[in-house]
Amino acid sequence: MKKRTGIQKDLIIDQLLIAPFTFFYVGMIIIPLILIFLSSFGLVHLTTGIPKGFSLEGYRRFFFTPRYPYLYAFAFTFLVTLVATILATFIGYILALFLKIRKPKWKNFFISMMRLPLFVPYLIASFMWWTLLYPKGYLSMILKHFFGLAIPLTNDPLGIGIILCAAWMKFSIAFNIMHSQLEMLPPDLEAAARNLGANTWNVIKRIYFPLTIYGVLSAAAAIFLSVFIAFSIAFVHGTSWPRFLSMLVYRDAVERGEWLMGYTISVIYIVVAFLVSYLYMKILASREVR
Amino acid sequence: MKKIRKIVFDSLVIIFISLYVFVPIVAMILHAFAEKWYAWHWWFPQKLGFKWFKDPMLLGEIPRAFFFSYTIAIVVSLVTLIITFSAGYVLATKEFKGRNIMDQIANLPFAFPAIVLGIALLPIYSRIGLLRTYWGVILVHMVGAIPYTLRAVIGSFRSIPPEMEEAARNLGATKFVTLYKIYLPLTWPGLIAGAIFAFTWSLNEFVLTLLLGFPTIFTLPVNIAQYMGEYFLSPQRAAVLGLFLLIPTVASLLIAEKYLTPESMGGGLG
Repeated sequence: MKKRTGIQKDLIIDQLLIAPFTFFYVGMIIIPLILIFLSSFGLVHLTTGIPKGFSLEGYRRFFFTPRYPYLYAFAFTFLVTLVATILATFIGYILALFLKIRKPKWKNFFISMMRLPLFVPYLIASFMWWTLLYPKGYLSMILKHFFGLAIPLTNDPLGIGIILCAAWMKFSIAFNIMHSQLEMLPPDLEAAARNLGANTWNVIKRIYFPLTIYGVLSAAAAIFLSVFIAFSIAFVHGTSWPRFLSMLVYRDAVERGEWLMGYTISVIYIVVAFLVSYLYMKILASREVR
Repeated sequence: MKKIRKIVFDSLVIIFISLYVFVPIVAMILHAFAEKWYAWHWWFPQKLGFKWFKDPMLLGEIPRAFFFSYTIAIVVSLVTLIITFSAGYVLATKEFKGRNIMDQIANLPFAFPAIVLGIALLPIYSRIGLLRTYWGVILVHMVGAIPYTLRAVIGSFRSIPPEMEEAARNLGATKFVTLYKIYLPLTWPGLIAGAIFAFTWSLNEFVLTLLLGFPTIFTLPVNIAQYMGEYFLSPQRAAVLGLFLLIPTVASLLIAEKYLTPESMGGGLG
């Protein structure tokens, strides 16, 4: 029998060291995802309600059920996420610009404060916003007493609660990315522009924005992805119709026992989430090249 | 005059942002301490106190929820640390085929919805007897905890010059001795940060516990959800439980930040 060299031994030890991680991921993530994919086509029957043999029934129902409830939920989720992303990115960018241009005295306190929402867990943040938005909450009462408006701000069909809560939770991401990007810009650029007579708006438009556009896009993609796949925010602020996609999966699979639809929506959900992740990686790569 | 205008404007922006950041937190705290809060007096509770902290309903559930939440979080962070320490060493210090694929796969939990994993695991757990068990919940919490911990651990390994391992090996140390005597003492800040990430992740995990643990295994987040209308509406009780989660989470993450190196903040394997 051949004796193993030191290098071969090292390789085996390395493989042994990484084996628990690999087995865990394969068992807890890869196999369940493959089973979901196969179940959505009726090729695996882990639960009831899955057609026998290959079938596109789940996808047919997703795309062609009369009145298109699934497509409507998908569009609702996409739009609500998009609005929350734009709002969070806008707030984060404006605050980063404020810090860069105005250089306020309490800069360090300001930066620490901005990071606070990042530390608050999803469910707790959702609950905090719920205490503001439910009919007896501060924002609802202020609207009612001072403006005579009695509109539902949470569990509403427009997704106002989801948007407001998600924007609060995520604007810190945009702020952190944009703040570090703006701090890295050479100060000579602004000085040169100012010498040539540019005002603040022109400096933002012609220097800061073009040089930080990849940062804006990567922040937006990261925020979009995290809101799009979120469950707790929709669980607390969502409504029975239209449903956020994560809640639709929960309803169909867990509450109604319609596992085929649960799995089909999941596959579509994963594909879209992966596409956004891919886009995010591309933007990050472009940013590094620049 | 211009200077005064600048100070006023800057102060207004800071006040506005402080309100935006803190008002939701203050609203929750007020709910936790509001003993009497009638609708006609909506702007502030009529009576503040600790009534809800001593509430018999909470007293019955808190000890169990606390026990599950905190013991699960501790076990998750320990097991996650063991797995990520060994994997992190290989991923950070060795070049091998398939490393990039490992990189992508390690970040998978960031990119797909937890509910999807939950409904995928539900029938599997049911078949293998892990559904509504303590260890089943621990395993599923680790799915979300591992990527964060791995980032911190890899960052720590990357901050150590490879010459140190080479020197130890040249002097006859085995790989395990090198890991124990060289890497472990030098990577501990990253390991602590990683363990804290895993702990806070597990402490706040909601949907997977709801799907795979509830009603046998219930944690504080699941209890909060129950008081927000799942069973009945009690914002005060939910706010009290929320404080029990929020304070340790924010404190732990602030501690973790102290131990993080720029490499571990940067994360990523690639």
